[in-house]
Amino acid sequence: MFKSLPLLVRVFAYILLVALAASVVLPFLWMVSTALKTTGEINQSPFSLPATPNFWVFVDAWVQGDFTRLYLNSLGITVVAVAGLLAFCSAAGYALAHFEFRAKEALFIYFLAGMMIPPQVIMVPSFKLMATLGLINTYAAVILTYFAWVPFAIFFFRAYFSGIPKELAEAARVEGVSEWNIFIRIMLPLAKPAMATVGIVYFIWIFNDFMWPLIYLNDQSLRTVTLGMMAFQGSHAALMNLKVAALIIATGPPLVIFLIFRRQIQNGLIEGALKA
Amino acid sequence: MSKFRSLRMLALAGVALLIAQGGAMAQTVTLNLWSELSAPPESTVLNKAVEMFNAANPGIVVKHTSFENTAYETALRTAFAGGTPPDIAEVNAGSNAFQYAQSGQLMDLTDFVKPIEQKLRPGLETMYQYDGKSYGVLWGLKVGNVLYYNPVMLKEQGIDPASLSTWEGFMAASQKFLDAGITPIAFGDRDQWTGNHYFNHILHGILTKDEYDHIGLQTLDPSITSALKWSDPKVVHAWEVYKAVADAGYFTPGYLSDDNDTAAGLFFAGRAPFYSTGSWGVGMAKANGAQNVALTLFPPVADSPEPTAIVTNSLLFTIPTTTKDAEAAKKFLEFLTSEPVQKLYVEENFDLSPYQYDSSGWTMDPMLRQIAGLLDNAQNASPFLDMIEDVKCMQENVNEANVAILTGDLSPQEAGDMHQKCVTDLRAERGW
Amino acid sequence: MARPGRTNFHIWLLLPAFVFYTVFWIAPALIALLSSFTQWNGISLGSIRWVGLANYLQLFDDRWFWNALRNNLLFVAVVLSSIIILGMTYALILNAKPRGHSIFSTIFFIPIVLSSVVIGLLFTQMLSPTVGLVGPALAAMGVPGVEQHQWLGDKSTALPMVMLVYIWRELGFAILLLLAGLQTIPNDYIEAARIDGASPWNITRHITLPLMRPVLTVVIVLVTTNAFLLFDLVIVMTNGGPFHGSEVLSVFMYSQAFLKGNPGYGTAIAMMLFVIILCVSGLQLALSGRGQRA
Repeated sequence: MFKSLPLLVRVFAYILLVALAASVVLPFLWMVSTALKTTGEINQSPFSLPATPNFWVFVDAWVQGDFTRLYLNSLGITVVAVAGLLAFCSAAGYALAHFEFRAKEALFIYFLAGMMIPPQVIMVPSFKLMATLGLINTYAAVILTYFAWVPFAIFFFRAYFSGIPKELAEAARVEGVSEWNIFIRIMLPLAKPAMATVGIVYFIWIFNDFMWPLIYLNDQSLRTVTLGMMAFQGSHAALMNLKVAALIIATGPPLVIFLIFRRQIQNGLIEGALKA
Repeated sequence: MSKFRSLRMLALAGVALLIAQGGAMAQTVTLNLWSELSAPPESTVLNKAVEMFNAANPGIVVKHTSFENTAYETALRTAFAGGTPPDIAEVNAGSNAFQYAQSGQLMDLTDFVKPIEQKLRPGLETMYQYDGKSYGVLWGLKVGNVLYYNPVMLKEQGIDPASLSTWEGFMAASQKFLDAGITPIAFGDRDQWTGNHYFNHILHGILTKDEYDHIGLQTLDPSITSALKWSDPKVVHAWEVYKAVADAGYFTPGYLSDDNDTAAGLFFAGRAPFYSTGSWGVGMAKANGAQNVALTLFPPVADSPEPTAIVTNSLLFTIPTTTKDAEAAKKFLEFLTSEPVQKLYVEENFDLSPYQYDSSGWTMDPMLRQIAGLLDNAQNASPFLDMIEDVKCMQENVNEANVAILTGDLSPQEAGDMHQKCVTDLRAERGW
Repeated sequence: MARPGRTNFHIWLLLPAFVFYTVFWIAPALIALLSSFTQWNGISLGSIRWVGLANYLQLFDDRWFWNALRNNLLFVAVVLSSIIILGMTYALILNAKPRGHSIFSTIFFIPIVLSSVVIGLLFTQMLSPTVGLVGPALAAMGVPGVEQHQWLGDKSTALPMVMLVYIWRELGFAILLLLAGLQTIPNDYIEAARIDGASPWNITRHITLPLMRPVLTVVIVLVTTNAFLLFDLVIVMTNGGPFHGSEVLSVFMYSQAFLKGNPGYGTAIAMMLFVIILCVSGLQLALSGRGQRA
């Protein structure tokens, strides 16, 4: 199809593609090259390549920043929060798509309204709530907050389930299958692509979140990757190579995981939200 | 004594012992301590002090929770507002502590602090006294108005470091560097407090201690009035001096967009010969492995009434009124001011002590000793302006204004007029 | 024999999400709403004073509120139109499956994974005139007078730079959604039009775009909402400066509530922001609905 376009259009299209790709790749190359240089080399020129690349810088940054601990914390929080969200929101999305009841539209709008509330505004009341529950400095405080991030997931699941014909469930009901089994055995397996998409999108959001861990997880041993990385930047002001190495450590692993699962996200989106 | 009686005595003694032991176990009290000392070396020192204290006091367990600097203020405020503050709270001395004191959240420690005051360096009481009462003990002392320079770069330009003792000398040296193609002063004002400190030090050099203290405290303390106004030429002159440095092109090119860490990095890497920050710069130089660093007092402007005066800040350990055990908490506070703990603090932290212990036997970095010398030599010490002025007036008219002066959004006179208006309105609104 | 709607099963399905959302998101927001009618110091509940609409009235006299609102609207307008136009362009190109399209799309999605804090730090470093890369690179390419330009410290470039970085970050997600939308359009439609002799432009204009309307609506509403709530990137890159130059409403709110000790006023700003977002996305949905019916 691309080949059928006029040459000029094709050339222009490639220029656009290469430009955007370069804007993404170059900063990463700069980061890697900066991390491998000595501080002296960094000061001399931002472009030069490291004379003798110092790969130990990543080990130093990893150890000094205690990234093993940070990654375990981040992964634990993220996995629990995402699993919970997938369970609640697929159920809610299914209910909103397939059941008729009073105030259905109003409830949907109620769920969406949360997207428009600036998170900074609920910071203080939320902190008070968690303090009252005695949850400050526990993982529960952040996880419960993430459990409330339902709007996008419900929006997505509702759209996805709307694309599944209601006759499917009707047929099962005629055969006497219980509502619970219809949901678990029929609907959820059909929603796998949506699960993958919502799961990965939320995984990225929660893994990268900065604000809630910042206010709830103050104990150093509870810190997440983003939090620990920020602290590292402040305490190593002039050691640019170490600072950048920590940036790479904080972004590298999620990036690799994402690249592996990219197909699933794309497929999920194609089969998911846009059917509606 | 009959056998029976002595047996009975023994039994009673045994019971008493049991009760005493049980009592001691029940009395083991856990005190939550919150602080913003989350990064080494400060956190390491406080954690060590806590360990030492817990080992020496079997009935008390202090549990230290450290917060990331930016989150601390939010966490502490919310905890106070929610009625669940820690049993011991570290706060910034000065206005920050006064806010909590004013709203009745901190215990009045006047009587407890009296004997500790005996060993305190004179003039530091303003940092914890509000409305005639004392609300905590100081931990560590930082000196603000220090100028760091690179002696090797100075030598290359043939500049005598002694010439940096006056503002004119500092400016002449800066010009010499600029002429040689080197931007002299590493400065990054992205987060506004760095420009605040420049203005603070310049202003502090122009005013007497009373003038300086009063012009700030008039927004915190109804009983204090200031004859001097922010819009007076004398005060506006401080803004003019600050602006002149920028206009001359002495600040490194990222002065509005770089943060302080980036600016410090330029100095430590030998790319700019001057960098002004507080005594904590000594620790920063060590952490960053910087070689060519020397220091002097931030040069006072010409005709300064008190050219040796020092700007300081400190952290305050306070006891919220809701504390589990006030006596145990006081014990910990007193322990923090004791000689071994202060020695530990100074030796490991590249910082100074607010208490007058004989430090000649302590292991101290030579630069830190030099700052201690500046302190001993000073006619007086004042807190930073942001410790003695209302947070809103300070934020808008020093933090934001110092950027606006550099961008040209405000002239020095406009900045002064706005500041005075904020102060006048505030006092009128509170009926002072 | 139960039909959906006659059982209570949907209640059980909805309950967990409803409870968590209500307790940990909506309830705090309602408390915040109440506090926007008060004045207090944020420390002791004893200092709370009921001031009615005073905080809201004060907003109208506050030049920095209008400044933040203006910056916010400008930001949303520029970012939204850029993301839609660029996103659509790239999605159309990738949908035509040029050689290497799969590698390109993979690269474009990379920024989605990075946190805005990391992105902010990275670009702040790169844009710095002292330790950065952008100034020297442009100078090497022969652009005059930019080597020492403070991209983030100059009023005329600070907000545009934040916009640029924001677009860079969000573009991949928009391309992803739009591309997915394009791939749901049945090929037969386009084939038929092509056989009838329609030009690629006409196919795009009359077949692709109308069929893309639902996807576009989703993208527009999502981008608008997120762009209005912009916070992290500004805090990391410019802190709202220089002198309010890149201050948007959420940053203005934060500085009032947390730096200037005026939480009541801060929440009033947040409530205005909420109302604005509600109106704008409501309008967008209404417009798209009307377009569909027409």
